[in-house]
Amino acid sequence: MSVEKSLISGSTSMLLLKLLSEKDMYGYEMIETLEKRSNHVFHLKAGTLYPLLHSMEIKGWLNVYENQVNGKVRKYYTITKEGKKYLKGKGEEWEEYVGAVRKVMGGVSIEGV
Amino acid sequence: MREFEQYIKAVEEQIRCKRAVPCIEEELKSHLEDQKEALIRDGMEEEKACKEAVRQMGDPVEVGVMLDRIHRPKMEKSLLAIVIILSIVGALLQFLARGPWKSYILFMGIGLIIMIGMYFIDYSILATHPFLFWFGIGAGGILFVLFSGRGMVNGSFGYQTQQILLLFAPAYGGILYYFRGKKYKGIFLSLLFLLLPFSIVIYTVNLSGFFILFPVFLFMLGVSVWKGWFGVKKIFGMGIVCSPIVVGALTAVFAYGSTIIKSYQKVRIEAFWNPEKYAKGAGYLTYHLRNMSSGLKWFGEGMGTNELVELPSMHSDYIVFFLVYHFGMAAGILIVSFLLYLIGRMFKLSMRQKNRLGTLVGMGCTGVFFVETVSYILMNFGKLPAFRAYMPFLSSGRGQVIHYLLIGVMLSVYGNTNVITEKTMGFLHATSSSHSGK
Repeated sequence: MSVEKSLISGSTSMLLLKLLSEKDMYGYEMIETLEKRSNHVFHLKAGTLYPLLHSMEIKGWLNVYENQVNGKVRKYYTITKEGKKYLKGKGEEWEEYVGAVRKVMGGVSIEGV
Repeated sequence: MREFEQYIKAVEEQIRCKRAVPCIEEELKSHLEDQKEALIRDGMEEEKACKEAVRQMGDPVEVGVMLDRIHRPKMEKSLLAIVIILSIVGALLQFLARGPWKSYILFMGIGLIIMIGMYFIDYSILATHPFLFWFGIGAGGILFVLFSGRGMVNGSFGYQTQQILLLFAPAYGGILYYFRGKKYKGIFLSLLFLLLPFSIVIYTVNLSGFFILFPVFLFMLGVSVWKGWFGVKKIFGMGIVCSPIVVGALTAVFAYGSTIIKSYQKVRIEAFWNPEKYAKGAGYLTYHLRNMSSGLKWFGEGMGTNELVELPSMHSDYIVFFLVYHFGMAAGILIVSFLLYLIGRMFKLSMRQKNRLGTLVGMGCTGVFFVETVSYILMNFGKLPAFRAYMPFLSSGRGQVIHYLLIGVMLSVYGNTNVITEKTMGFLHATSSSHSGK
């Protein structure tokens, strides 16, 4: 099922930060993990991912380092203290949003929506 | 594979800041490889996998435009705004204090042009050619001493060279960066290089230059040691950093008793402690400053001694006092806090640099401004002995242009925060298997 873009776009940073709060990852790994965890609902294009990662690094939410695994050098991203703070705030905002939608829609049921 | 190169090239074409390109190229290439391998594992044949990997990346122009927007040097507007405001205030003060306001404005114009010019210069040349700059500045200082006429008049001679010597501060950043990781040897060598500015300052008997530069040098060295950039234990490292202070203090005591310090300077120091005793002579300034300080008001002109004492060189050495005396403490605090805000911002931006060279160079410039400002204010209220001083932006004096240059260097540092990293300077390699040295 393809979810409307506007529902996803604002929260991509939040999702990526959540992934990184659990484990340092490199770009491709993030796309795969996101796809798997969301049951293929979220399919992030690499062309969207990297500008986002770079801008989060500039904002200070992420740090970067390089690691060599199996002869391949990869750029790993790790979440910073500010990043964790932002994630927490965004997460709460999201919870509030979801709760409000639920209240208005009167409970989202699996059939018939 | 050709599709990969074509794709990356299309992305790169959109990125104006070419320094950022190698890093981005690596990351995108690595991603395309991973994607291709995954598709091959799923059963796709290689050529089709290449094309599909590229397709999954998205429109290269769109991606490039987004990356270009992110990877760009940016002008630190807050610094620029404060510099302009303070310059205008300075010109006004000079006019009111009957100082050389016309040449002030001329040098302000030249300074602003140089400042903007420095922004476009890549400050990392301080790291790639540290010794060139270091000895070049030294040569400049020495040449100035040799060719600037003869005779030193009350140390004013040393004062002129001082302006060039201030360039040693950011240049020291290059030296310290060069010796990073070199442990105790590095610290000793960093101290050794200070002999150059030290000997110039001693030869020209430029005490105020000494007291501005050397605290800044030691502060920069201390920061490097404290942050572990030399790779030594903090305690021992800091001990070595403090040793010149001890040596210096001992030398000062020794010099005081000998003939190295000229007698007029000795008198000045004594007059500082006992201004009343020397009120008619060397203590004149300090005595009257302290006197008039008590008559200052919050707003408006202060009431001093019965005769309004016109201080000599009011517009160069006592402009802050002039400001406070004629317009009140409130005005003085307002304008000085602008300057202090500028310095605070410079400091914060230096610390926030991920590039250690950027931090060091920024600290050098910030330190100069800080020491000058604080010592000038203290001197203006009689808390320090009278000396030829320069207040950034507010006072007149030849140092004006150099100060704009220093701010320009900082604009270059801050503007390139996201663009010039230690890696792009060529000092770190891709095969480090640990966190890239921060």
